[in-house]
Amino acid sequence: MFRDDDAGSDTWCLARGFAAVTVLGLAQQLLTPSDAAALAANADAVRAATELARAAAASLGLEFGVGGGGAV
Amino acid sequence: MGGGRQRGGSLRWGRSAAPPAPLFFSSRRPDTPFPLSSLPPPGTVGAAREGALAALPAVALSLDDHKAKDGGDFLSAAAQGAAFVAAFLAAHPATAPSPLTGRVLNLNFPAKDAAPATRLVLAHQGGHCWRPGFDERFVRTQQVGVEWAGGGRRGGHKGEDGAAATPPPPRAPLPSQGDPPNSPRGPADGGAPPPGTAGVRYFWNVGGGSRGEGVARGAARARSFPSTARPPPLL
Repeated sequence: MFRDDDAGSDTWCLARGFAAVTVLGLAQQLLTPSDAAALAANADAVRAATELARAAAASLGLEFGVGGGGAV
Repeated sequence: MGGGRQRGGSLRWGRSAAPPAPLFFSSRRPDTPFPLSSLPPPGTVGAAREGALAALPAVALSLDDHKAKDGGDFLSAAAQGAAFVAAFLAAHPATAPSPLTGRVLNLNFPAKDAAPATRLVLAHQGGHCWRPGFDERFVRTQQVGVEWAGGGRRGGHKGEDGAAATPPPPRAPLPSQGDPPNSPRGPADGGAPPPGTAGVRYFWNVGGGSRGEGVARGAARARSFPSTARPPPLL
């Protein structure tokens, strides 16, 4: 049994018509979690993904958000 | 980009020298049996993960609509996806390591019938766990027995707005693809082939899961009846 590769989006983001992006590790571990320890351990990747998503949203004329209604 | 979230196509960068050439892996519709001469493509995220394993920038793009079929269904999401990829490449070129090297970005778009996305959200991964499973199928039009990587979800998905997790209902057996109700199925673990199917090629899927639509994922390996053992996983 392994973690599904969904973004935490199907019950929140997509249902609201938002695009969603998440960061996955090679072992499909959670890299953009609400788990503070995991978040800290992967802070560089999460930060890079956040900057990227923010820039992409700006270029697309989209609002940018983090967390899908909660803390990432 | 193909149809269906998770079943949608993947975009990854190949191993060629810069500028990297994007490679698309389209999903296969359940009513489109793969030809005997080819192998089913890897899953959306699996394809992107291959790129990440090679230290290449990797993005999986999916549309939350498994009914999307033709190019027109993907236009809006494809345009947004292309812009996202361009931004990704500009910030994280394939020729230089970055914090996202060895990571996969999984980008999901709303269904085609929904209004174009107005917001891009950095979200955490879903709370589902996938329980691998396999379904025996016989594709009549191709005269092949196919072992589909399937399975089901375990655990509910907690909405970030605090909504309680709703455990998914038990999964019904996946429908076979184009076969009659009494069609022969391949044996689960070798053994005698169903009557009239001797010599039918048989495929083993690994590396991913289908989600009820019966889309083949992962690598595959062909073998012929009779066989007494499953081939080893390709991972």
